[in-house]
Amino acid sequence: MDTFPATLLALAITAPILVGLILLAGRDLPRSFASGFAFGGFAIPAVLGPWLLILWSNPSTAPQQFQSEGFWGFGFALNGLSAPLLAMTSLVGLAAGIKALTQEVEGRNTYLGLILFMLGGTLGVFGTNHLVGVYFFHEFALIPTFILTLFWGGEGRRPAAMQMAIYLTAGAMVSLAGILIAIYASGVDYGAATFESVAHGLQNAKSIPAATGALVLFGLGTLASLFPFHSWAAPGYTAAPTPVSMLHAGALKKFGLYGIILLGLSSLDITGGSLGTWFLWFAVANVVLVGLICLAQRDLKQLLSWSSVAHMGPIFLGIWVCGASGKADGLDAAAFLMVAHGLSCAALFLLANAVRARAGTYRLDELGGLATRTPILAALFIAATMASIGLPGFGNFWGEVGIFLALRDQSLWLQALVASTVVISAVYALRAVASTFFGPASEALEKRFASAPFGDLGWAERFAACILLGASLTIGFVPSLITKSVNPVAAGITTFSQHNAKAPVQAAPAQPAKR
Amino acid sequence: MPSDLSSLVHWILFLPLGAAVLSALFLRRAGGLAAWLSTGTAFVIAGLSLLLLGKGVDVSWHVELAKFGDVSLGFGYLIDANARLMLFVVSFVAAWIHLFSVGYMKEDSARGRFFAGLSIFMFSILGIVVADNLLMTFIYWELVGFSSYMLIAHYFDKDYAAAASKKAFIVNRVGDLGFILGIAMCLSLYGTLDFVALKDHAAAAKTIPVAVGALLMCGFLGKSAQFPLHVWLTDAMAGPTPVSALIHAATMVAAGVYFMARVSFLLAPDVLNLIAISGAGMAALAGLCALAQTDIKKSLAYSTLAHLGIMGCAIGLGHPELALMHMAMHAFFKATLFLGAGSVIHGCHHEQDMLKMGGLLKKMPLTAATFIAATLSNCAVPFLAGWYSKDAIIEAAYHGHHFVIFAFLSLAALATCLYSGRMIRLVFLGEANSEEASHAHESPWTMTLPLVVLGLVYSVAGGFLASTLMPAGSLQPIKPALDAIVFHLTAPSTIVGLFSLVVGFFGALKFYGTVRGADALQVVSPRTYHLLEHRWMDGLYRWYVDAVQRRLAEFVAFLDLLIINGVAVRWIGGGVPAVLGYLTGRSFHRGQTRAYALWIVVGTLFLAWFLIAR
Amino acid sequence: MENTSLAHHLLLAGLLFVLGLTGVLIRRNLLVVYMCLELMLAAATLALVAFSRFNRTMDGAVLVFFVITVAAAEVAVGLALIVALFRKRGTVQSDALTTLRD
Repeated sequence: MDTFPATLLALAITAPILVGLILLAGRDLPRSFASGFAFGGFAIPAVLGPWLLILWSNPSTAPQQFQSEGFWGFGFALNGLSAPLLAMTSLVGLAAGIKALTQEVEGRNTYLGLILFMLGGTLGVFGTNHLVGVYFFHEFALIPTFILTLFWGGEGRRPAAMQMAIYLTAGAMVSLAGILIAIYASGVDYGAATFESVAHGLQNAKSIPAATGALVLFGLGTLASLFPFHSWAAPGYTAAPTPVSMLHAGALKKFGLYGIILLGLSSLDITGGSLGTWFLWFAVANVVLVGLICLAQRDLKQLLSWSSVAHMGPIFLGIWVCGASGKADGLDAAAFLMVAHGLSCAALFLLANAVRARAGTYRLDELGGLATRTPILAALFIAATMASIGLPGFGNFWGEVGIFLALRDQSLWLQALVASTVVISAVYALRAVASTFFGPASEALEKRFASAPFGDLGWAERFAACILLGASLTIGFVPSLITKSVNPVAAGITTFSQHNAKAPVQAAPAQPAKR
Repeated sequence: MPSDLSSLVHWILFLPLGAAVLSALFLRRAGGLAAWLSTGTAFVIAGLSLLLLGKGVDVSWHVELAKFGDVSLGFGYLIDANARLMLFVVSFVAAWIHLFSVGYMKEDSARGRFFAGLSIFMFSILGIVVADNLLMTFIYWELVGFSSYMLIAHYFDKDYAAAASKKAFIVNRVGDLGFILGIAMCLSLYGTLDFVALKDHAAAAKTIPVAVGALLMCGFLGKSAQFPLHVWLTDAMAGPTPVSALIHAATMVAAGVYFMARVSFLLAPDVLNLIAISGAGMAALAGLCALAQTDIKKSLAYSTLAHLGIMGCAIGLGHPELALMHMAMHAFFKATLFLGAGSVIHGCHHEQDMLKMGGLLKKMPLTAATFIAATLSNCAVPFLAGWYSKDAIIEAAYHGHHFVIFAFLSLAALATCLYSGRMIRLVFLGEANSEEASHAHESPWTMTLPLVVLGLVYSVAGGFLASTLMPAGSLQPIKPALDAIVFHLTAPSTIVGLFSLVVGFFGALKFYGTVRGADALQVVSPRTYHLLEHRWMDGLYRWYVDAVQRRLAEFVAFLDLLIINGVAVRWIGGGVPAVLGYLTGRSFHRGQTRAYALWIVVGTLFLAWFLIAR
Repeated sequence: MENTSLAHHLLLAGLLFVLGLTGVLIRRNLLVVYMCLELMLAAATLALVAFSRFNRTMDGAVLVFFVITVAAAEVAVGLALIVALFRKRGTVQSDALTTLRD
């Protein structure tokens, strides 16, 4: 067996962590040296991640590829779902890294080192095949997230970081309980507990404790901001430093969904029974209620933070419909949207920060007419906005449309409720664009420009945004890049859940949604 | 050879995309180069489309991009007679509009962006024409919405342009919401999105569910600006005039008509009736509203709405071929009208108020001649382009015994003549009513040449050309209807048409000559005028957005803050320890190391009990 | 040796552990608390040795070596902390050290 790709994978995960260690240890390293070093740490995975996705061969025979020893017993390997996610993470990481390198902060080396840790941890989440290893890497990435938000965050960082820490730790604890019970119930030896083996064990298990599915769903759902466990996300992302928002909202958050798919959906029947009904309604609330909340936002970064919560809704629904009515396309599309959302959401956070750097504020009513001064920034921001509201050509489109199509056998009004995101997201996103960039320049902006003239987007940030948008366009035009590795995973999971599922849940009577 | 022709379609489709990418990335500062690149591409496409039309061969080509589960995401072409006709009309009109833009946008600083926008628009609209399945159509459909958004927002530093672009996009998305649901329903019912396969399924099925057609129709309502989603079209005049010509005359609005014709086999009779009635009603209403607009472009926009209503009506009456024919004729003369308006605006130093114009016939003879020719075609003067198609539709309504529709269409015909006469009278006849108009000058050749080509050749002789020169296949289905009109001058439609023309057109010429510097109708009957200004629909939507949607959003946000974040989380977070603390007589959190140690012990014991007892 | 069983050893270890725990819970002087902690550690070590002895494997005994080593290091750090605390705050009474509350 060819060990070369496995080496690449191991290198992609360890490189940022090692560089991060060096930067943390060498707080006094000279600036230029540290910058170059850190850039290496960000760039190595960004080259290797997409490369590994391209190397991914027809996986129907092997669910796991590129296996290696890893460290602490957590072997490295990719599966069909994690390969694209790892590639996406590496690109988001590079963009976030470039953003971090352009920032002037106190304790720069520590800052960069912690972000590298975050990146390494996130890559580890998707690059490990051991269930507890996945969890470990998630925590490994989460701790720097808190520290970075607490010390380098913006306005309101203390309460936001605390809230984030409490929510995410609680969510992680609940999901850990679920994971451990699942491993126990599957009868798989702890040391050999990979997603595949545990799922296989659970599928053949005689009895699974009833609460396991709920623990996994709501624990991991909290990490992915499932309604009503989403309250941490908006203030957290708003307060966190931009590279952290990019990495967390773009990549690390996807761990919750990743786990729900590979553990919950594949073997715990989270879409059946009353749990499935709750799941459905929470996901719909994610789309509709959080969408409405987005409409009420008056602050650009808060709007983006809320919209990143709202965009989880369709993903949850794609997962739900895969389990509930055996539609593999729902899962395919959900996975696609996970990747695409990571790219577009990171690009938006990056560019919104560039807006703030120029206009000095995120408040929409004080912004306006920026496009005349900064045409490139405006063009890229509009592109990223269009990506996030699912314009064809960008990856998000396939994901969203795929999910709408996967819901085709549900009742019409449920479909309409979900598809209403097409309109809602257009309303808030375009309002943000119009009040930031269009119209005559606001007085505040003119004054600021007169006192401290600002230029258009710098080259480094341009490059970072182009990486993200370029990747989104690439998967938009060549969707098979993602689907070739995801299809077999989705098909496999669907086969099982169909085998397990009851009749398709015909949308329950006028239950919650409004609460 | 089919492979040859599919590569021809590749070129038609991807040339404009390439031009757009090139202009957007590299020619931002070289506006002149971008302009000629884009225009050159447009003419090449027009030539290729003509070639395709001449060959008269169907093309079908398909490749699978990816699979989601069992759903195939396919990319392909399906070129039939309708598609060839549409390709030709769109690319031909668009090519001349490009050329016009070269002159019109000469002084604009953002020409690179503008022409990139035109090219991406071309790509999307041609995509709709050639697409072979519903999903691809939806993709181009969305892209059309996006490119029109960018083009309407060309003068983005003006508040009205920013608002209009947003409105256009969002209203279109409301239509798309129904469209995507319709696509999902097709997939659910028939398991395919491919037009050919869908047609087979529809033919095999006894009845088509009403919902399929009704949902697909939503897309048409948005894109073709049909009632009640027509509100964006008049605001979209905020874009540069060539954009208005391209979007509102030739292409974007026609896309909806074309699409309805393409999926006409999926429309149940109830849906058709609905389209017919609402189309006819809108034709009459919009025609009358055009009487109360002082902005020349807005008046033309209402005229477009009226014609779109007529096309919708033709589809509803079960004559999609007639709708397409009217779409083609309308594209020619309305593009001429818009470009003529652009030339007038350009000549009058960007004055758009018709009441401030006047007497331009002498100052801008070429523009005036073409504009008047196109207007006459618009009024359906016999043997001009508009006459063939419009009268055929009115005739179809009469023959189908849809007398309500017939009445509405007749009213629309009368209104058309009225506003046309008014426009001619106010703009070209009489004397100049403002400084700008008295110093008007004729436009450069890049602007007048398209006018001459489009206006004189096609709007005057278009119908003749269409009925004689075009390959038989493309017009075969409507041949009988055409013959019926041409050879029966006593047909009801002809009577209606001639009556409207005489009474409406000449009446308007006379009526609007009575008052100078103001609108005669406004002077005579201010209340009628105000009603026709058509503000109430916008008012209704504004009320919805301000009073309903925004309040709902704020209410939900408040509830989220109060209930989930405030009560639930804070209560659990703060309440549970408080209660426990009350029970144990002391707070958990007092910094006492020993208390913490005690709780660790209690917890450990509890866990041990839990594990052993189970 | 012959008439002692595993239970005896474990009982002794348990007694030591509870003794240490009680000390940790009721004493206020950090130094004493610390000694009690060590007692608890010693109780655990004793249990390990006993298991090792009666299971006839060396695992427990080996682990004990590590524990002793680590405990030695830990004592050094812990005592240093208490001394530093005393220098800063002038007391090692746990009741007076409630800064964590805030």
